[in-house]
Amino acid sequence: MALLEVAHLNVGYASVRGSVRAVRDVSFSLDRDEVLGVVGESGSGKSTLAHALMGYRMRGTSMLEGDVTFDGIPLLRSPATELRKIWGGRIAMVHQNPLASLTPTMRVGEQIAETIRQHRNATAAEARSAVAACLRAVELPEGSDIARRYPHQLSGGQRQRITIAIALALEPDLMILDEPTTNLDATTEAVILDLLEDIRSRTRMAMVYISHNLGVIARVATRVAVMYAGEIVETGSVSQIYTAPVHSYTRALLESLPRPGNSKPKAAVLSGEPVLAAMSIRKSFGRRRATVRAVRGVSLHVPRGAVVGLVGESGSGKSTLLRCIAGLERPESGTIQYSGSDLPPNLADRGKDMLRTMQMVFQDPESTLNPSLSIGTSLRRHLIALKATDGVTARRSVDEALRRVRLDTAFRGRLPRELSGGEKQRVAIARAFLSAPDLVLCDEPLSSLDVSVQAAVCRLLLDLQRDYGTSYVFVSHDLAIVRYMSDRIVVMYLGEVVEEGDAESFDRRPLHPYTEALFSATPIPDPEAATARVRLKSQISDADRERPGCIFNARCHRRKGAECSEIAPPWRDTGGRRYRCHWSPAELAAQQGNEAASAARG
Amino acid sequence: MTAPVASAAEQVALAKPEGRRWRWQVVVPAAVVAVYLLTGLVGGILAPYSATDFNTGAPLATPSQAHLFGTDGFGRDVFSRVLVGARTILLLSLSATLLGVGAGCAIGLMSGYRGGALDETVMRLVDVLLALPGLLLAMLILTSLGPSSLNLVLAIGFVFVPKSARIARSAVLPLRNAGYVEAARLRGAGWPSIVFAELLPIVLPQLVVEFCLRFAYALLLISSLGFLGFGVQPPTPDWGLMISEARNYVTIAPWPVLFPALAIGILVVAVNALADALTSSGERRVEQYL
Amino acid sequence: MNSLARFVAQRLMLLVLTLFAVSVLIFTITQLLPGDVATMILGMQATPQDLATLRTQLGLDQPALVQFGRWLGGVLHGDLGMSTRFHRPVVEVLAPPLEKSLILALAGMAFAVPAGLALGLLCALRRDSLLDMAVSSATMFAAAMPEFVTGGLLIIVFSTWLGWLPPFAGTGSASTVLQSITELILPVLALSFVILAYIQRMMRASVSEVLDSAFVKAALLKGLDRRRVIVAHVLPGALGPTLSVIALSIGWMAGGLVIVESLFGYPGIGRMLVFAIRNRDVPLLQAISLVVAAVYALANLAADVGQRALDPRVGSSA
Repeated sequence: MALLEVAHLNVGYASVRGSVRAVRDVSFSLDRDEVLGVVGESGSGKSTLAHALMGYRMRGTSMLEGDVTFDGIPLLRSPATELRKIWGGRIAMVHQNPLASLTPTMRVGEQIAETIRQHRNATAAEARSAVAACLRAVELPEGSDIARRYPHQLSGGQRQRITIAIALALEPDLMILDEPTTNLDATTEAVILDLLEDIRSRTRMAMVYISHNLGVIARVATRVAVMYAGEIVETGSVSQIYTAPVHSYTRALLESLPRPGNSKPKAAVLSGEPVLAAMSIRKSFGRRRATVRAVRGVSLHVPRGAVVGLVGESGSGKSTLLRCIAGLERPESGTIQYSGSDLPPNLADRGKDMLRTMQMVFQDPESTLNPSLSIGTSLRRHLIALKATDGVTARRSVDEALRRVRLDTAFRGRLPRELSGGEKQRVAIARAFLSAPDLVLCDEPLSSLDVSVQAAVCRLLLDLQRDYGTSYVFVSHDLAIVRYMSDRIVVMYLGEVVEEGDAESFDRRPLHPYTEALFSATPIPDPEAATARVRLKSQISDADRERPGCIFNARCHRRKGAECSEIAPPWRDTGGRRYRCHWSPAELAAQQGNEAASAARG
Repeated sequence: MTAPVASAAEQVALAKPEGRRWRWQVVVPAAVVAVYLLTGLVGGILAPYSATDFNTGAPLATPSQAHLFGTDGFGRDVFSRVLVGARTILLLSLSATLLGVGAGCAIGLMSGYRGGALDETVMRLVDVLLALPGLLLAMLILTSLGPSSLNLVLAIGFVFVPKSARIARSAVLPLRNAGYVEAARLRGAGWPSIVFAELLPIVLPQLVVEFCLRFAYALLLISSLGFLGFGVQPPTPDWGLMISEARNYVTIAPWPVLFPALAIGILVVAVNALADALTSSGERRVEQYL
Repeated sequence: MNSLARFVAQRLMLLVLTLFAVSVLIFTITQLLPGDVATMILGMQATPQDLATLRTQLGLDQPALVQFGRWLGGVLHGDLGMSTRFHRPVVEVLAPPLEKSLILALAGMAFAVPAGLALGLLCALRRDSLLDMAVSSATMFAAAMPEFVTGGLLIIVFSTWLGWLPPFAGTGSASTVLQSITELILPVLALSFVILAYIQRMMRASVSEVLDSAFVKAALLKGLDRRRVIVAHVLPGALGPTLSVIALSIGWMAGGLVIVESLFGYPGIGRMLVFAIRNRDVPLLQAISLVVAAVYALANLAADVGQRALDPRVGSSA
């Protein structure tokens, strides 16, 4: 008998619009040691499914039908007292967004201990030692320090480990994970996924792993179920789904992802004067002792008509740099040359002609448009401010702009709340192109969109870029997208550029150790792909900014020696790329070659 | 199949009908307030007696057909006085609220958006003004200026400015870094244009609710000040003043206290209920469950 | 705990500054009061010489700034000046009414705070039930009406119609302790209804919000029993905003005291304030205003500190 049997599960909500079925007729079974990966975007019903699997009725549930049988126990028909024994004890859940799912007013150690006390009737001393064991199991440094902290005092990765520790505390038979790594940096995510794999092989726990990220699912799951609009449209083994998808939605999902080696036709990088040349930009935040040097002497060149991809994780300074260029932040020092002339750091000092030629697309589609104005009004205002056109011409231009981003002109009269995220982002792009700018700054424009929508918007951006010959500075934490879109790539870490060069040369081989780690951390939706496993120890820490020597010293897996922590590494040039490291290109090549060889052997 | 422009979630969310629901919570209080407003307009005409004439009947008479609400200690008809009193209190409250909330919101919006030293200074001043309870501040101002109707409006308006400024400021604060604000900056918009053309339409619903709440408070303040003797001066009928005048006879003849009290009570409850209903919490969107 | 101590110290400094600014405000306003103080003290028969001497004595001929300085100096030494109406030190004049008002205020809080918290929690746990709706309507009524309306209606019902309770309080007509307590019932109710309502609504709102939060759901899914979840997970987060309301209500109470004491003839500090204003007794007026502002500011400080102690996120620089 399977550990978990789900038969014809239906969950519905009553809302103003009538009842909505969030989960439709879902059935599957799960055994020990199996990991079921549930792939779905927002709105697919996966979160409702996760909670229903535990027998939990979310607020507003009007209908909960079907059977969920766990080890012979019918969860949907069990009384609350029985369920309470099972929850935490035999089935545990790792929630999305640990900052929201950990009680902010309680120390994290206590949040682990109370589960243990509840289910095992343990004494305080017993609970304390059990907590220490849990912390060890999730590879958190021992000692009372972490256990006595509050959730907001921990980093994202640490918080996620705590939620896993809570789930593991009583060694459950089944663990349900709802997007556990969504809010983490790529390098941290990679480490957490390793940890989960490790735990599973040790305990033979069954897992249901929910995510929208196909790459992650490919890594962790043994079987995959694809959810769309509440239904499971396809199930199969991992290789089946990824190599021979049957359902059209699955196919569309897989097709919409950029894969390495598959990128846009690269434009011939135009020589001549760069459209933007930023030199030695510095920007810090905070006061006195709490100063954070967000951008430390960064220079950036953007050739005419090219896409420069700026990639890095949280704290890298990439967004700050972009905002300094845009004029939304004031750099402390540094100069910016724009098409040959000096660009005033203050937005108010820039004339209309300068504003016209440089525009921006922002990350969050929900706040990119004024919610109280119609689309047409927003666009018209922007246009008239920049180009002082009259009413009739303005209206025609707005219609043209909407058509350019493949939206019907009827959108003119709609309010932002009537548009989807993808549509709002298209309007934002239309707004940026109203004045036919030479440079468009893109601050993570795709990150907040659902996967199936990202591809279309990404293609739109590239088409516009090609048609107008506009340059982009494209900021993203998603390396795959950056590799797909860019002509040049710049990698940033804690406020500094560690590597930059032509995108093509990146495809061959990363050089800087951080770039290497970033490449190997990016989950690829291809179960066959073998990438060198590079894992970084410890977390990103702001304190590293202030230490002398190489900025990456504290986490580098190829640390050379004392010079790394004392002397700033020199720039090294090689074949269209530059990077800062104490290792020379030849030394790095040799090391990586040896590792690949031993990996192949072992 | 081509990749959809909107994902599954968004399609579900967007397929909803728009439209305001007229609920009892809004209709009933609004109707009550409307009745009061009407009384304010035509009360004087409808009153059977003059509101200021003494001895229209025996003093402290119980309600009868001649005197629907009875008479007070001077023989004045309570019903007429209540009707005429409506106009005074509504007019004064409305003016004071418009003045105070208007000025306060403008200050709060500007200060909140621009931030920096200006914002700090304004907020310190607001804190100082809020350190005194509103009633006390109003009493002090009125004693300095003298108890006229104009001064009443000015005093209460002044009391409202800091509170409204705070509310407007906290409404605007989270919006400062929104995408559309930055887009406006990138097209060269200055702060007046951003504050009043971009941000004001968005926070307007919150400010309207604040207006309703302040209006309710103005009614309270004016009648309280009348009760204490600082407000509208006799012989103009003021509900609060009527209560304090008749207070000493309350054990013998409660009517001159009861009816003005009910008049005030029902009005303020209705205004508060209306404000409550307007801040409808909005139900959780279904998407969060998906 | 060190950071908490620092926080308290910072806020105390801010409080002192605020009080200073408030005293400036009060002084400025009272200086504008019409009426000649000297004439009011000595009467209409006083000779111009006597008036001039008195004015010099009281320092009324000095520039405003100097007068303010002298007054402030006096305050810092505990000397609040001489009441022009009672011809006694203000401190003496204020002591008895202050005590009486404190009794009323404390009784009011003792009733309103526990009742408000308990009702708020209960309604949040049984959201949208009949009980919840009934209590919500009742509190809305109570919160909306001015204290003299609530008080007036209470007097009419309990004194005039039912005859259970006296319509005046504190006038000295009570001979036994029981009588003293009985006559306090109506004023305490009138005073505290509003506050109870505000506390109940805030508590209900913040508990409801926390009940809907992701971390309460996560706590439930750990299999913890309901009581533990409510006490350890829900209450600490929900109490914070409610504490602010409790502190603010001390300030509202100051305004309420004025009205309730006037209505019931209770010889407290509120009634004394009205008296001081009517009689242009400037020193008394200034002193009472300052006391009220100080109490209000301290209450706000207490709320901020309490909120910080309960919720570690507030004010932390993490």
